[in-house]
Amino acid sequence: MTPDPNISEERLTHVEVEHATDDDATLHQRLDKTWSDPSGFIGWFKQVNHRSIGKRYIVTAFIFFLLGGSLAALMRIQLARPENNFLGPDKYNQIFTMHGSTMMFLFAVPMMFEALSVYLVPLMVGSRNIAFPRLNAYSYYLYLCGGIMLFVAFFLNIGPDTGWFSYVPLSGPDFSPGKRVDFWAQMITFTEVSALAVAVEIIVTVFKMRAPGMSLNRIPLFVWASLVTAFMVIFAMPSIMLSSTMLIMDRLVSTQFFNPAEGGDALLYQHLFWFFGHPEVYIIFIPGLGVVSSVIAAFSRRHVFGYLALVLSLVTTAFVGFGLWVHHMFATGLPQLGESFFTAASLMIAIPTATQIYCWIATMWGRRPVLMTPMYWVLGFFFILIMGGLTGIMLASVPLDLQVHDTFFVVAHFHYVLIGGAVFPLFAALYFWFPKITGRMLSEAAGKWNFWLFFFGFNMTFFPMHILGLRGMPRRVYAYPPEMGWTAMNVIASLGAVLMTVSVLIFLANVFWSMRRGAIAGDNPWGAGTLEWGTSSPPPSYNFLHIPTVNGREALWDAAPNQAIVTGLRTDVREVLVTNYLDAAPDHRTEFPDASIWPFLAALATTALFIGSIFTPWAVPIGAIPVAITMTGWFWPGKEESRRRKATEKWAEEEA
Amino acid sequence: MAERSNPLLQNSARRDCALWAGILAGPVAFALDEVVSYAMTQHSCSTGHVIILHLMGLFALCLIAVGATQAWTVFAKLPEQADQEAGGVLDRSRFMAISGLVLCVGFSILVIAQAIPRFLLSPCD
Repeated sequence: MTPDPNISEERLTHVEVEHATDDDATLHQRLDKTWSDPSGFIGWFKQVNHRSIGKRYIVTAFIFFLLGGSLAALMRIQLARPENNFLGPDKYNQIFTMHGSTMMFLFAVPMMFEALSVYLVPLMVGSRNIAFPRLNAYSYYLYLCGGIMLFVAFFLNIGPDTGWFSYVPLSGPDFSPGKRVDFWAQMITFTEVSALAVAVEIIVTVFKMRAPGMSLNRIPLFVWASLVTAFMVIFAMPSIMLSSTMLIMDRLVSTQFFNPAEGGDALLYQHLFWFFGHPEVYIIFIPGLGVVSSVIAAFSRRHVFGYLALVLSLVTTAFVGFGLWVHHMFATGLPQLGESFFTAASLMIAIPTATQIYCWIATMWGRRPVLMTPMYWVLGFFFILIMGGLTGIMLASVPLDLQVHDTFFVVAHFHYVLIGGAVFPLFAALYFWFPKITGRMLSEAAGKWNFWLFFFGFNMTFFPMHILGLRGMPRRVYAYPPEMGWTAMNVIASLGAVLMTVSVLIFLANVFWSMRRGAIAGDNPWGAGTLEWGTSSPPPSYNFLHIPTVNGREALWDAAPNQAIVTGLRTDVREVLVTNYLDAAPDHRTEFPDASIWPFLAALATTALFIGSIFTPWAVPIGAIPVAITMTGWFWPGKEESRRRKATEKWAEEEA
Repeated sequence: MAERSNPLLQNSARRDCALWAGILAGPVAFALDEVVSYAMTQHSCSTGHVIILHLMGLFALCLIAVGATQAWTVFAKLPEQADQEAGGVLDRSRFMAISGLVLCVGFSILVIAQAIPRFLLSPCD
């Protein structure tokens, strides 16, 4: 066997950090040929580039947002009048369950964590792709299949109807016969496997693929937020997967995990669910904090004030976020002393959030930030999130929590937190990074209409719910008698929902119009400082012509006049630079896999296994066979790859 | 040049372990204290051994003190010119050491806040 001519001693032993001198056009051609994914119908299913998958995540999660929002609109129509017959109780139960499940599992986590992180993190750390790109494609298809399964079940009138947290015993076999809850439980499995896969990819990308010079103390704040969220996903998601699997086993194979009559424990379900459920709020919210830091730095034209405080606030929020779950169970008769631990933690988690808000205000102080649409959404986020945070502190108090438990006050609180903490930063992110993703600007005028209608619509919808809750209106009731005095507030809330709907329609029109006719963005329309703005808009297939090096926290602002670049990576295969996790010093190089249909086929096989197991436990052993076959195909090396590997091994043996 | 001669550069594994100990001690102590104390509440009620809860809080504070000491040990050896924003090993170490110290202070406040009710409430309430 002859050694690969592309492999030289220099290539295998070190990577040079040099200044750009290559013929860029030739390099572009070579890299584009190597890194481009196949096109066409079949090619679409083979793509593994993080930008392709990231865009699919964004579009899919936004479609689920629209579907979840449509379900909310149906609920607002139903509640606009007392004793309304627009929806019956069974359909209403399905709709509020689908709304909550869709927004939490199919929109908020996939959009705020998976979509934004998959698209942005590799660009922000100066890498050519995300770690484990085939796993990334697999995770997307699994998420898509889980979402489709849930909505198919809903349209077939077998949608889940026990609320987005499906408490036992209501969701157990005795009180929820049929398959409705099983579809909910398996949707959890789909989305959580998907999120776990992305979490692993993000952690490895951030720790091992950062551009040289991007030491731990120089990581962009959005990347910090993604990293912290990824760790939270890894620790939180197994808990919900365990509880939903135990639930489905109680229902399908008559285990008795949650049946007290047979030695099980119904409260165990609540503990397992909320050990995931409360951190999930922060999983949704923390990426939004990263977005806010990015937008404020760019529009204030300065480094963020208090970088260390912001990083530590993210880390503290993540850790303390795991110590609050029992405050969802204050009404279950736990010992007061036990509850007091969680009251203390619930009150104190306000400190890191407040610290971040002070840092952002300090960043903007005296700089007259440029007030464009992304900043409008950030300022709206401040107002809404503080409102939600204040009612959160109220709910941390056991006496008040018991008084308003399961009322519309709680509904108002968590919508202020989740929409304030996630949807407002999401719109900021979409306006901010749309030029990078598409190469065109969104309309500013439409953006401001979008913002103001959403802001007023949101407050009209959810502020009256505080009052409704204090007046005793329980959540999840499909009708109420007119003499309760709840009608006026419900009418205002429903009118607010109309404004929010119009706002989202304006956003969609803006997107479709701007994709074709929006102003050309250029590489860095906002003059921002992080690495993703250092490449073209949209980025090329290989992200960066030369892997950059970093000289400060805002890589572009702090770059030296002739900033060094990395050379020595192969251009004929998908080779990437691996750096060490603390200091991002070049460590070694590794080859990434090519595009492949196998992740898609593996996701289909996994889908068949998951859905089959709703109907028979035999689907697990039988369904494992196609999963094993497709996974084998996934990891089977191609001829070229084998040849290169053998040549490298031979060379290494000779050297040894 | 000062950076090259710094003893912290000689033993990187030990330095980084100390830094991680500083960063993780607070969160780990908080988590242990909360979960164990919560789980022990009913046991304390049935046996009357409230002292276990107090000891748990004390143990958590000791753990945090150990972490803070580790972070401080590294911090004290760092040259004054080490900069939290620069890209060198010592600069990054300063960032991690300060992070560890701040986290230890923050989580010790949280552990103390959770310890106060143990003096005011009975586990049987």
